[in-house]
Amino acid sequence: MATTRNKVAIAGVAYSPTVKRSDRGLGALAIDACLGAIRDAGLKPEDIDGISNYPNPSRIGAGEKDGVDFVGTKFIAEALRLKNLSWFSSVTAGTMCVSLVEAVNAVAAGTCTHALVWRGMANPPGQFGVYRATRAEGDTQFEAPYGLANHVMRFAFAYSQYMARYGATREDMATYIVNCRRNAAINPNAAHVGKPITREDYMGARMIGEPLSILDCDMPVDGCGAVVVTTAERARDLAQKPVYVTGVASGGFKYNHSLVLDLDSYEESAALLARSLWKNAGLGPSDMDFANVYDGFSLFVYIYLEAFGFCKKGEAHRFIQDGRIALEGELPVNPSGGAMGMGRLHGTPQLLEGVLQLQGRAGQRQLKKARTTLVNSGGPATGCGAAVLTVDP
Amino acid sequence: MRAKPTRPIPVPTPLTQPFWDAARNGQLAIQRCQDCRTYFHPPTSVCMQCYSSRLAFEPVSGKGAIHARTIMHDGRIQGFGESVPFAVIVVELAEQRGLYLLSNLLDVPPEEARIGLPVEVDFEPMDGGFVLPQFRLSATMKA
Repeated sequence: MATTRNKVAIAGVAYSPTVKRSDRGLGALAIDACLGAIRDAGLKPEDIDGISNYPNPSRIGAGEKDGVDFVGTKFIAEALRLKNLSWFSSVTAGTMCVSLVEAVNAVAAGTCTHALVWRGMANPPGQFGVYRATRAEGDTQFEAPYGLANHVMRFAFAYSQYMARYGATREDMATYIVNCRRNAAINPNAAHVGKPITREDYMGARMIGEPLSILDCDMPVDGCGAVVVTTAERARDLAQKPVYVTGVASGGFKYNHSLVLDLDSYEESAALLARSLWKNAGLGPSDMDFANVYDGFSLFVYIYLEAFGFCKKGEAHRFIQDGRIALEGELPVNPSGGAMGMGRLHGTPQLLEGVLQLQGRAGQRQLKKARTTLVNSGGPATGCGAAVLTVDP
Repeated sequence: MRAKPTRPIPVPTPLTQPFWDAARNGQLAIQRCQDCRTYFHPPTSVCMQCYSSRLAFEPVSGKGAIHARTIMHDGRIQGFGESVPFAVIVVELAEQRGLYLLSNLLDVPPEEARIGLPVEVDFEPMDGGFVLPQFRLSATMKA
């Protein structure tokens, strides 16, 4: 099989300041992150000849202006005056890691040499998930009349099944959330820096769509993360230690005709992503020193840890216990703090942390062994991507 | 539900109209392929199993089981703010594996919505002349 294995590398990364609500607009934050990643690589904007992005507005119904409510390819190409572009991509699903897969393929194919990939998220005034329609159109005619009009409720269904099928409890999940907040507490890029929580805080958290509490959902933020992707050869001449992309995969389709995101769909779809990735990378879970798996909703961590083979199906809620996933554990999970600690950044807490750890630039949370890792983001049955990164090509 | 919610009114399309017409007549009808006999909900323009275009609505038993559930505690859904906490359940209809309908759970506190319990359909009139299929725990299960 012809692959892109280690032919492409990540050469630079940067975050904008990330806070619950910024007094600067999302456009300014995205420019911070994109220029930051370009400079981190030792490049200039005129060197960028490819751009790749997942542009969906971070909140349904909050407005759709490029550079204000979301940051797409048009805004970045204009704002950074990228006049040497030969390639762009805007994916419709899958968050940061799917945009990365596109860029890796474009660079490997020679369509561009230096590709910029970013994801910006806005948190405009008002509450997330508010539903105001009095008429239920389209598929919502079978949902909204029952009061099902909110993503937390939709994503709660599979978690209710997971708990019933495998005997998982909220006490089990407390371990994951507390660990994320512990990691984020020492991550200067995290929205929750300096704010660890206790198991009691988690157990007492306000319920939204049971079994999902407010602390099972990542906190909306204003922020952006960006990376620069280039050829392995070129990366060796740039400013940072190259982080090679050993394998990539994208997927995340649901194969039953239904409005319901059920547990079987998650498990089936995530397993397909994992099979594709390990085949493409020529590696497996035991080769990973740590794992950066997507945690926009807490259940996703169980789904992905199981699908990627770090533990068996139905066992993730036990696998994460006893310090196993802590910074000092045998498989650190989301050392950045993940989305639960960094905020709702759609995969940048996974991708950028993989790079920073492998380069030895993760500060206080730097892992002892960080040579090869998994990064992944997106919903298991709504669009997701994954990559294996290494400093040992 | 503690208080009766103000429910958003469904806006049927040509594809979904027969579902709402049947409900108004006190019947649960689900779209079915007339060639391979697979049921679909929501309705589809082509059979997703055999790709036939011969699709029609047929009455179903109205019996099923709770496959998944959530209990909404937050008041941010307009019309339902005074009704929290309330359960939304995924009903898997007896006719076919993976044939799901959404519903509330009538007459009992939301925490009674437990996965695996058998349920059966009832019909709740709503504004605009619509009738909403709703499920309750099956009679055999009520103590």
